Amino acid sequence: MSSVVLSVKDLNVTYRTATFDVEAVKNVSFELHRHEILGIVGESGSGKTTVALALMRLLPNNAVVSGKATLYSRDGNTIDDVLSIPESEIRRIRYRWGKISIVFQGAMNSLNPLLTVKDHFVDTAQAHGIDKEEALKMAAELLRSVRLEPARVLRSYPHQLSGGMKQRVMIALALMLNPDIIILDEPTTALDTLTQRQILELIKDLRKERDVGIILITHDLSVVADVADKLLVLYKGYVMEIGEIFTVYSRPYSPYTLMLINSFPAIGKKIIRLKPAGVTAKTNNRGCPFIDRCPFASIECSDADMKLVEVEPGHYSSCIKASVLQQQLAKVTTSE
Amino acid sequence: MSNPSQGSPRGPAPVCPYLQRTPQGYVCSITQRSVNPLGWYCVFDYMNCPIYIGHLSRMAGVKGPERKYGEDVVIAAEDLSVVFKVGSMFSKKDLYAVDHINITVNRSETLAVVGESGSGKTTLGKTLVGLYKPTTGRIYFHGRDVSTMTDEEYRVYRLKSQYIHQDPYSSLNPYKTVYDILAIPLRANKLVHSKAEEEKVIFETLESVGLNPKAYINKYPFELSGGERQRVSIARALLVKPEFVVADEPVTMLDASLRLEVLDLLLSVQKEMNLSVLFITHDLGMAYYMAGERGRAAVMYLGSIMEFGPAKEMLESPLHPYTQALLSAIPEPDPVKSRSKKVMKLRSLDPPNPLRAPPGCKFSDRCPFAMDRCFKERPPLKKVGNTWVACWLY
Repeated sequence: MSSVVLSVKDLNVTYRTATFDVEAVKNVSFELHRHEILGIVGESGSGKTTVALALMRLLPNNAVVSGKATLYSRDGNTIDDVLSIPESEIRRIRYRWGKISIVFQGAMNSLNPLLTVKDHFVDTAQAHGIDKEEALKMAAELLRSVRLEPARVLRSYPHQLSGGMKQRVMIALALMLNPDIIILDEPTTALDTLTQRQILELIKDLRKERDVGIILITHDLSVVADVADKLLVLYKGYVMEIGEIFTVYSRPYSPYTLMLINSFPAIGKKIIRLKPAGVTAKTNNRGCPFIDRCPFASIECSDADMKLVEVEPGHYSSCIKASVLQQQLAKVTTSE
Repeated sequence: MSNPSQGSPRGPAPVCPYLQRTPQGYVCSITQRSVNPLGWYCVFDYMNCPIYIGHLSRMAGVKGPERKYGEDVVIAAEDLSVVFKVGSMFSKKDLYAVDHINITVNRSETLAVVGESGSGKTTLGKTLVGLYKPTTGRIYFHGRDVSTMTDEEYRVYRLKSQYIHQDPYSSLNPYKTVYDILAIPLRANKLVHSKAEEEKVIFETLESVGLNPKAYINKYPFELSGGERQRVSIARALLVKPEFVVADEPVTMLDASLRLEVLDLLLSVQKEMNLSVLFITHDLGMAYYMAGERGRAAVMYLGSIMEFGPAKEMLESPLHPYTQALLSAIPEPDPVKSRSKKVMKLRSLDPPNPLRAPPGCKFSDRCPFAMDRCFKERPPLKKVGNTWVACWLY
């Protein structure tokens, strides 16, 4: 395995509102290696976009962040504490877009309809002190690397491109300053099956070609199943499970992961149906957040401290009943 | 609106002997101005009414334009096209969103329509329930041509064919509570006579979609999660006891963990109410799940049906290259399977502009198997085994 490019330790994000605090992300830790794709999976409200925004330092003012994130750039520089460097420093070292860049959710709709693709590239480049000719050269090369025809695409306005092409233009723009890490937030959500497949293939190729680590945020487990190397499952801000993709799929150690895997109808696939055990949490702020939907929940779960425990090498789960789950699962699959 | 004692323009309406109470327990009253396709005055569930069914079987013997298709066919489209005029004032072009399609949906059957965006699947669904007017062709509801229906018949047709929209976030009125959202169709169609009855119907329907009525009737859409919204949306469609429901990608906007619940809900109400469902999706796995063993599936591309047949057989071993490409591209929720899969290489990654579709087979410019003939002649649907396929390879 190649070297670590980003390591996040105990990331907590709390949104302060006038009346109460929302703990959006709780004790999230992970490591991202170069050329690796980390899939962050969770439903809406699970905090996956908050993790991305915290790393991009784009959180709103009412967010309180704690924890530590270290970025090891390919030019040999190490940014010790990404989460606390001041804004002026961010600009100086060109942290945003230069070290880490993001393609937002629904980004294909964020191209300016009045500008051609060429204008987008020139604009972005000039904002970072690259002159026009250089920018056009870079644009052509970037577009080629996302499998687009520069000659045609550069002249086009966004409405002349299909959804998949727009998404690829956005990815090219995000790659412009040669970041070490690129975050893709739901890159395929609004796309068709065939286009989705192209984008996923592209993402797979890009990590080696552009020498980046990729964080892929999605709610669609089939997307990460296809491309990710590592899987991080988030639920209500907690990490439920993290591990190598193949082990997590074949032996999920969290009931929530199991539920996600079983919520995708596929051709010729058997779906395991489990009913919630009907245990409710004692108080709001303690215990496992999944307790009320969990088929294996018991009363101890309402006191669980949600610490990640290594269940097998490189595979961590925060479920206190992980072993029970495995036994039950074996029973369910054999009885069917 | 005509006086009930005068009946429909086709002749006097027979007095319904089930005047007091239908088998379903709804008050059946002759004063309600709603009429079934035969001219009977009836409010709810005439499909289950013994008198109506008896009448139908007699009608089935009738030949001629009055009644086409068997009793089983709830809705049928013949040579259906929907053309949108696009372009500037002086260069209007015809965009065939739905291009001469023939389709039938049987009673209590699921027909899954699969296609990419822009394939015309939503236009087809909207046209079948009467939200768009067909440019050419006819739609038959219980064998009656929709375009020649009387006003009363047309009202029944619109009432009995309902539509579940794709996006529950924009299809519910944000200013109305769940109760009001559900009460509007009942009131507008005069399906209830009293507040108490209205409440009863709304409560029952909410329960049938798995929502606790007491907790939800006073909520506004913004207070509901995506899954709950979609349930309200489904409840609204089921409220008027439809026979035919178009479900337009009902779960694409929902979180993955909720999708299956909503799909299962649809399956169970379909069984309960004997619904015919046209299930629109871009996901072959979903189509397979919904249409399953008994249903049928149709694959659409640029307004045309490329392949049509029993869902299970067709999706497990598709014949048309387009269906094969779709099948090879769906991401599997299993890393082992998904990575061992061979993706079919298409000659062009993006679908052509529908205004400039290839003259021959519409898929010819992307199809890896395209022959000379494919670029010149459009293939008709041909029966191969149990499926119909529009491809010169067969």
